[in-house]
Amino acid sequence: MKRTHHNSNSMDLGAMQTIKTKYNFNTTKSPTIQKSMYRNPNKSINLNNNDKNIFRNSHVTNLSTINPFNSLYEIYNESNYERPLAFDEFKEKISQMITQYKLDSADNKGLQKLNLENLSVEEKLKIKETLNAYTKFKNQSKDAEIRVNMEDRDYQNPYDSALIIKKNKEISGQITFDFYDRTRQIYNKEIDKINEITYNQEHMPKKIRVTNLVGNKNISPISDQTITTKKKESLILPSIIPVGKNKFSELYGSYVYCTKNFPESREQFTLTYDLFDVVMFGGMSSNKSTTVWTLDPGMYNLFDKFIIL
Amino acid sequence: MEWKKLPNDNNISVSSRFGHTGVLYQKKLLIFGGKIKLNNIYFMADLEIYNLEDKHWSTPIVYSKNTLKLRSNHIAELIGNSSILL
Repeated sequence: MKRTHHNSNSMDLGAMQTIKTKYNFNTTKSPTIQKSMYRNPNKSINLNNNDKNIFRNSHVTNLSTINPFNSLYEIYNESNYERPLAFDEFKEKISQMITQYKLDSADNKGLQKLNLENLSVEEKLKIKETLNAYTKFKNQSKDAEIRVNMEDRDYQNPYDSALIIKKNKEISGQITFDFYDRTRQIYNKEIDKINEITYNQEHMPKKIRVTNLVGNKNISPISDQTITTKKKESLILPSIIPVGKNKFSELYGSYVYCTKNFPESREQFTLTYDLFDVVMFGGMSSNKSTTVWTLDPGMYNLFDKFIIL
Repeated sequence: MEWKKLPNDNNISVSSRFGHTGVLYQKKLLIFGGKIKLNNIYFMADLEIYNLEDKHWSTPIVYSKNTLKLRSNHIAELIGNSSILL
């Protein structure tokens, strides 16, 4: 039997799908200390060096002590970032984040005045269509309003499409607010994988989903309430300024995942077979999966290999 | 040729394990023993069956005079169509 080998570099990009994802992001630069605090403790992008340096943040050892949204991180603690999240799972996680964020916000008097329920009703249809999340920003001028639209475009050659993917990564790097940090990390992680694949240009798809930065003139204010800025562990939370001055910016990013399933790497598993089935189960893997895998021969015809003349 | 995930229709899942054995018998995957890693590593001696046709897990009630000991990294072999040698 022919042995198949899979790894992240050999993913079939023809099976990649792009999901339209909506973020709100703050176009104003965040303080350097805020960026450093929200880096992924294991791997992150250095935003100050054009995304070229990927390094380990050994100096960030304990996010839970400095992060006010501990509950949000706890949701993700159970996730294994070494494997791509399916879109449904990704969507569910974001939904949990939003719910938890609202619950946490209810303890804050200022945030109680901010009618988050009306906010979600107002954007309810958009939530159904896209993966959505909300947050509050400060001091956003109208000139800074940016909407990123997405469209499918055939670049005819893999090099240009690789550049666009890099651009997507840079756009995702603009999401600096803590609430979306996890989202951004997941997004970046997927983009990193794609960037690895771009080294092998022959597997690079020509047609990809791209993002374009355009001015957004139809942004509605979200609140007429004022949220006081509070400090915790040297971390400055974002504040809401009165209506008319506060505007939302929207970023449509793309969440890319592979639809082609294959088993995770594992050891001490069982693989058994008979004349009709090849079944694999268990083993030490990264995500403790209990999935039963079966090898589908597909169009592979054994009789072609045994032609008796 | 590609790998496919088999669904779990009755949502009864087995614990993830390694060092176990699996035997395919009459469209059923019989899983026995192995180890599970929680805070520590625990050996197991349970039998779980995945039905390839019905696509669900089940745990049979095993009647035995002699209780099987916990084990892992063992082997299991189907003898004919009636017995499994551990």
